[in-house]
Amino acid sequence: MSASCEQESCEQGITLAGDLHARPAGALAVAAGRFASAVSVTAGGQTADAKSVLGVMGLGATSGQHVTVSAAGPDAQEAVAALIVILGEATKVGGLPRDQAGRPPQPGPSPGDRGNLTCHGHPSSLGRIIFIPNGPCCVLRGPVSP
Amino acid sequence: MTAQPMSTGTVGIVLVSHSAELAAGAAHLAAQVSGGTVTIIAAGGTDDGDLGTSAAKVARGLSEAESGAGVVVLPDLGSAVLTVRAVLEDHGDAESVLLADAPFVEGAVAATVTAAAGGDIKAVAAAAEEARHVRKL
Repeated sequence: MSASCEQESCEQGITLAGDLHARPAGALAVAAGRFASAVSVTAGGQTADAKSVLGVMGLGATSGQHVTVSAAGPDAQEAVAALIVILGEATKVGGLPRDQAGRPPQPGPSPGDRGNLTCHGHPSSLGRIIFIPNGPCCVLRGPVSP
Repeated sequence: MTAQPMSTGTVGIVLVSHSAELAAGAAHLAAQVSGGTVTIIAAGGTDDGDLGTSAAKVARGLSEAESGAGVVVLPDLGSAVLTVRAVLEDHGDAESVLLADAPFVEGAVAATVTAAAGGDIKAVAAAAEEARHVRKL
């Protein structure tokens, strides 16, 4: 599903592979909180502030449901791309792997680092890489506004 | 009890409950939901392990949770508030600690997620207090 983006607003949908439980909602809200843009999640006719973990959990979004992420602000495209990746990963069966402390697994053999942010996976040269702290790489394909 | 590792620059959370198990459980839940990057200290029960609150545990929690960005404290019920206030009166730097008036579990989760996202002490306390207005049904 492709994103519908303009200069400072962006929207993209995804069909959930699993229920939007507490941990995926937390991962979503933590990531959303790092962007300057206002970000919202809509499911089943209800919209929540993506930065509010309780609001996202309150959507009660379940497996197979279509969810839309919208953002408005200077980093709207990056925010939507990052959150769509998280929604895709975190609601898979098994969800985000965690250790006892609740942390995602440690970086793999060849992570890309940017300051204290670690990027897992396989950065592609085809697009712009978005770093999600201790999360998967998000590669934004297609036109990127300056 | 220390639930989480230190993370410099992130607001710390202290959960003050009459029950050690309740504080530890809420800390565990909040850590799991937020990704485990925030220091959450469970300060529950009395010094000898009974139901109640301990000024010594709260004071120790404040110091363990502080990593330079301040600490938000969530009390569970009435006298936990009194204990925290008594400790804060003796605490030198009042601006670095905020007492949040919030539902305990929801507030702990919301505050920790906001801290994990890099929110400052006021944003973290506000997230906890806004938890009061979020419907779960």
